[in-house]
Amino acid sequence: MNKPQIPNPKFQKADLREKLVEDTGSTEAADELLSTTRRLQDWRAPQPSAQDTAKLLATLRPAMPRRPSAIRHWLSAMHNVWPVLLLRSQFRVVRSEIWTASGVVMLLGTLVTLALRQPLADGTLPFVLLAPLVAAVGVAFIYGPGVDPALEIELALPVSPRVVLLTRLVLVFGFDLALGGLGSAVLAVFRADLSLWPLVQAWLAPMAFLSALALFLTTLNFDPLVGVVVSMIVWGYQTLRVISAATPAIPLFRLLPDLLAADMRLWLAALALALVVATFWLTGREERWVRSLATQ
Amino acid sequence: MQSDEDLARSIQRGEPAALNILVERHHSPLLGYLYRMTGGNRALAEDLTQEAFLRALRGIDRYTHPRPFKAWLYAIAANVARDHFKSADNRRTDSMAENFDAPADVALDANLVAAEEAQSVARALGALPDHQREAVVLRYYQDLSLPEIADALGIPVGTVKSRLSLGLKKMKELLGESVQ
Repeated sequence: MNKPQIPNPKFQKADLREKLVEDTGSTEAADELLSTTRRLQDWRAPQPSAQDTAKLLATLRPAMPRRPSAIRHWLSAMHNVWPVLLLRSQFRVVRSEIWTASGVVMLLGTLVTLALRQPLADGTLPFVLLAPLVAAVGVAFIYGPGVDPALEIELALPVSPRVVLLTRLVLVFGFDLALGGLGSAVLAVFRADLSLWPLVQAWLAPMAFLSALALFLTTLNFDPLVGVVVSMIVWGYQTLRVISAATPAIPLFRLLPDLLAADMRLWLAALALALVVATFWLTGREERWVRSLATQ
Repeated sequence: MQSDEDLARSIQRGEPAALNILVERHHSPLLGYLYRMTGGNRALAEDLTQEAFLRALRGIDRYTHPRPFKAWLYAIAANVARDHFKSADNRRTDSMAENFDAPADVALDANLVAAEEAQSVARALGALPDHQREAVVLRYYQDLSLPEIADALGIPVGTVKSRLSLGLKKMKELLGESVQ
């Protein structure tokens, strides 16, 4: 028995002509090709049955992506968030020695503090003396000529050097904060005479101040060594002050304020904030200066 | 009715119901496309259709909303067909028209004139270069718009138009000869 020829709606004369005009760009060419394209409907393709589709679906289902858990979904969404992308990119650029050196020195500070069992002359722990200096040296090396071989490329990119600087500051200072917290937690666990929060309070404000000072001086002088040397001098003085506490014969170390004193913490935090603001202002000024040189 | 693009996003989130809808919607058209691209070889077209869906599903994470899903799917299907004919075992050394087997459903048709006409069209289409055949099939059988074809084949709209024009003119010649 003959199969009835059902007209295919895709091959209606008017629609087909309209398509041809669009394809060929002329009505003459469309009219010339109309009969040819109408004949295309004579070759019909087979229709899959419902069983064919069910069979295909059964083959495909094992390849279906798994429903991600809420945490995985959140993590994958976070992967493409701009600040996270920036942090990841800058993590690869920051000098790797910063991570290793900070980790090793903080570990040594923790071990020495555990081994000594006794605080230094005025009750200061070696860990509290080391933590701010480790952070300051790390922060001094995060940005600038001589440190960053790709500085000129960065200046040519749409991301502002201020944002790059902020990102690296967050990374390195955040890393040192985490190390400080971890070291303090270990000390609080293994030494019954120490509590976590007072210990963190003892180094937190000095660490913020010394790091901000190093960053400011590095940015101001285009040289990380200046930041490192000055922060070492400041902290060296503070260390000598601590060590000589029991020696009243050295009054020189009593001239300047004690940066580890509890009543200095608020001042140090405010100074750190002011220095960071000044650094970002300086970075913007340098950026404008470099860009103006490039366009001259 | 949910759009193909929304369904694709649902599949990315791992919702199996979306896969059912998309496959039911595109199984027949995709089979039709590959059936014509393989010169009327139904068994081969079915295998390639399955392969195209599998590739689409495995690469669903690479689908980016709001790219038209249809164009994305046909781009995969076109690649599946090309890859098949590119491999050494399946390379065509002569035109498809010579290898053409009359489709079973047409051969069974008692209307011999219609069957012969279908064979003529299939042979003419098979005689076109691959790139022209792709364009003609996507445009006139699959009903894709010019931008959708351009997207699926990764070529400019102007190139799609010229391939269509040249392909149809060649078909007209071939069909004219076969009719005479």
